[in-house]
Amino acid sequence: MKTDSTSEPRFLALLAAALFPGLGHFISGERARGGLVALGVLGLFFGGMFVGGIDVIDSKENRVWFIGQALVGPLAFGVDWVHQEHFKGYDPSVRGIVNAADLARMSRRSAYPDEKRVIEEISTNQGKFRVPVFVKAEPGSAPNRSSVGKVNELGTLFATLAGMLNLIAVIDAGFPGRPRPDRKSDENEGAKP
Amino acid sequence: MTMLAYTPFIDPIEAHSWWYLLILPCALFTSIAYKAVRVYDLRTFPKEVAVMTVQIVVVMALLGFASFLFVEKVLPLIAT
Repeated sequence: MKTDSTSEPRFLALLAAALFPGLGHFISGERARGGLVALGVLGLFFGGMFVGGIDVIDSKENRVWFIGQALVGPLAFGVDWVHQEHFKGYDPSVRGIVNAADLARMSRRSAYPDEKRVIEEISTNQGKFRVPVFVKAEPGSAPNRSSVGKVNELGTLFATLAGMLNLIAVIDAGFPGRPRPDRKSDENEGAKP
Repeated sequence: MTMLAYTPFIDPIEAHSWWYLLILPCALFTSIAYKAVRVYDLRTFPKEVAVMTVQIVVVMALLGFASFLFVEKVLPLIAT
């Protein structure tokens, strides 16, 4: 029985698609299709950030939505890392903490409009730690303006849709269905729809 | 309204009065990503994206109108 090689799993394409939107199709020879996947997925992801700011990508305070956003791939984790490490900080009450375990449990938050982010040394029972703390400042000193209301909801929705659509693209890149005219391997093997 | 030190992609946009228009780029990019995978021949891609975008916008508008009718007309009838 003749088998259609185009329907066999493509694990390299699957991995590439999981690493970056559209890359799986691109390395499979479907360059235009890969570009369009990237346009759609990245358009939604960065569109969400444009609408709602970096607050819409938040694995700590918005974990359920981040599960969907994480399907965009390492890019989502990178943006979340930047958000957690460079924009969030501890409440000033962190200064009263002396137990390192309590410090580890304390969660960071986004800045209020009249706060700025500074690095302070906190002394605990297990040594000193340099941590970001919010302190009172002139309005507008915050590292970013908090995203609230409809823009936050819509931005979060945009970025989560990006992840869910990228999951479809990853599956399509790794487990191709019927042959397509723009798939290079189809031409090489003479496969016709 | 303050626009102090607005940084794109870091700060949110001021779209609180026209947020509903954001369904247009949302529907467009959703259609692009979905149809990029689904269409057999990319020559039909622009048309299929346009059709799907319009479908999403129209159906969402109809659902919104249906919700409006339910809340404003049907629920008061049930309540009385």
